[in-house]
Amino acid sequence: MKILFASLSRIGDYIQHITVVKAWAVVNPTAEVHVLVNDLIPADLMRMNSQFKHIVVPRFEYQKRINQVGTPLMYPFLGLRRVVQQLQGEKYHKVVDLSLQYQSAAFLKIIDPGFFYTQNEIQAINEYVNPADQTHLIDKLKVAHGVELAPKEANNGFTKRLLLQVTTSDKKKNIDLPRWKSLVEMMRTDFKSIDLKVISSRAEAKQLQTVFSKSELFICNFAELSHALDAETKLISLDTSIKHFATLFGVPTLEISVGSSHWVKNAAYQTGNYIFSAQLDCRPCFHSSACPYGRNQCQDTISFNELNQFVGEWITGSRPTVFPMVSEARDGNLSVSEASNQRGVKWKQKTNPTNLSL
Amino acid sequence: MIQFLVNKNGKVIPQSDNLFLCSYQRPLSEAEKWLAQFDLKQARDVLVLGGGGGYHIELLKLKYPDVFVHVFEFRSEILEHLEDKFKRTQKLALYGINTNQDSAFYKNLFQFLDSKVPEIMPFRSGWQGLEPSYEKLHSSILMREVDTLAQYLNTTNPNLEFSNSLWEEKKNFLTLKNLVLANTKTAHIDSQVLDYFGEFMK
Repeated sequence: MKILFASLSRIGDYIQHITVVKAWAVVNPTAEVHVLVNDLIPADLMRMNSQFKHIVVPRFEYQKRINQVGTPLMYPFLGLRRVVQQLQGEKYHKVVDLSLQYQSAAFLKIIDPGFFYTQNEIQAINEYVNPADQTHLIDKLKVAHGVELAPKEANNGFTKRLLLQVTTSDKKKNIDLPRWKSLVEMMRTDFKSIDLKVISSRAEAKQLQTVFSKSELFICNFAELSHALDAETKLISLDTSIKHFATLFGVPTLEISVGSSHWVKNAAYQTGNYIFSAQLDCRPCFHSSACPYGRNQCQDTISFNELNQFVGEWITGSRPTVFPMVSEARDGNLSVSEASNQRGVKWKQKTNPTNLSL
Repeated sequence: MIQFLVNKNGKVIPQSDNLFLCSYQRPLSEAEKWLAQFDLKQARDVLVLGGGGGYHIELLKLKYPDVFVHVFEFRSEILEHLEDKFKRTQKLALYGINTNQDSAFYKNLFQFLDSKVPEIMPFRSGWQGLEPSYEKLHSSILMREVDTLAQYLNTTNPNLEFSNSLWEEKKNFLTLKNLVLANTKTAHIDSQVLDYFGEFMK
């Protein structure tokens, strides 16, 4: 059997999709598995999953070049046609869309005119877009595709290194860099024995160096980062691909959830992670719409003093006294304790079935 | 008639009717500035329009030895000069172009573009004295005008059909969005591929 899994979203989604693909491949060991991705996915990350053939649709490259005057008009068309012809030539027995988006479905329909979403997938999509639903993406996908998966426990041991991921690709899910700088300084003063580094991709190093010194940064790609994600490391991260990547190594993570980030749906698929979630009535907002306040004011509800106190308890292995939520397994799915704290006025309006416009 | 002069740094500079075909004083700086305009990280093939003194090609090969460089040049003397200069260079092809191109030329050109999808790298200093010919060729390659797109479509015959209104817009500078909107055929795979661009241009 030859199967194509489409993962045409962002890096964090790809990491979660691959978890599902691996679980599917375990129960279908003779299947030839291909994975369709877009050009946001770094080559080193794909190489880590090289047991599956990856096919890249350079969609963002096309998008960049479509109206560039120096590019021949038909180039994006020719490039995409070539990818389509390659995929059609593979003659897949089954095509599966893990992205669950209209755009990826439209593309898969070109490759395989018989492509359709199953009832399980349609149910998963409907439930996932419902703001009242609190099921993790992987838990939705595992039901839709009939695979066995449960969140694993984070390793909790001695801490030698603390890594921070302080930026996301989505403005709404960020916290201002000067605030991060103040937290790093606080932690550096309070926890002198800890090796503290801010993770930076090569592309964002220049931006981060406007606030942090170069020696404070750990400039790396995913392959390089994987060597630092060992049993003596802990991670503090916004809602980024890095926190999903860290779960592959069981790294305990403090997740900071602001803007459109949902504390369960978008959490790292791992139990024992702590979650600081911004408290504001409009949280979590929709991914696709801009913050109506201009600046995401929900970030101000994250207290860095509390966070610093928590980190002190967390890295020494004592029982944390200040934390809003911790991820746990419930009926084999990922859940969190104390989630009821998160529901503000607008949240209640969203969860009222009469207000759902989806 | 091309003359080859030697500048104070010993660099050979081609001249055509008092026009230098690359910088006389600083051909290497010119080559660096020219190359900096392009993003070649993903490129496997490039098409350099204009051979000039060859310093830009030399730098290109130095920085991107794995990229296959195709050079289009109208002047036979320049071609001979470049053939001599790059006789030991791997992954480099020089093409002599006639100023009067026929339909067979365009057929070959478009087949070449379809198969190699090279990055287009015009070297305008090397066009001096033959600007209209180079401009015409460059414009055909870019297919951004109605006439040049029609030329491409007539030659390569992809399964696309466009509404007449597109062809009436003689002054229109074409974008892929124009084509997506003007495409009237929907059943064929080429049309579906083109329509898909509409999805991510919304």
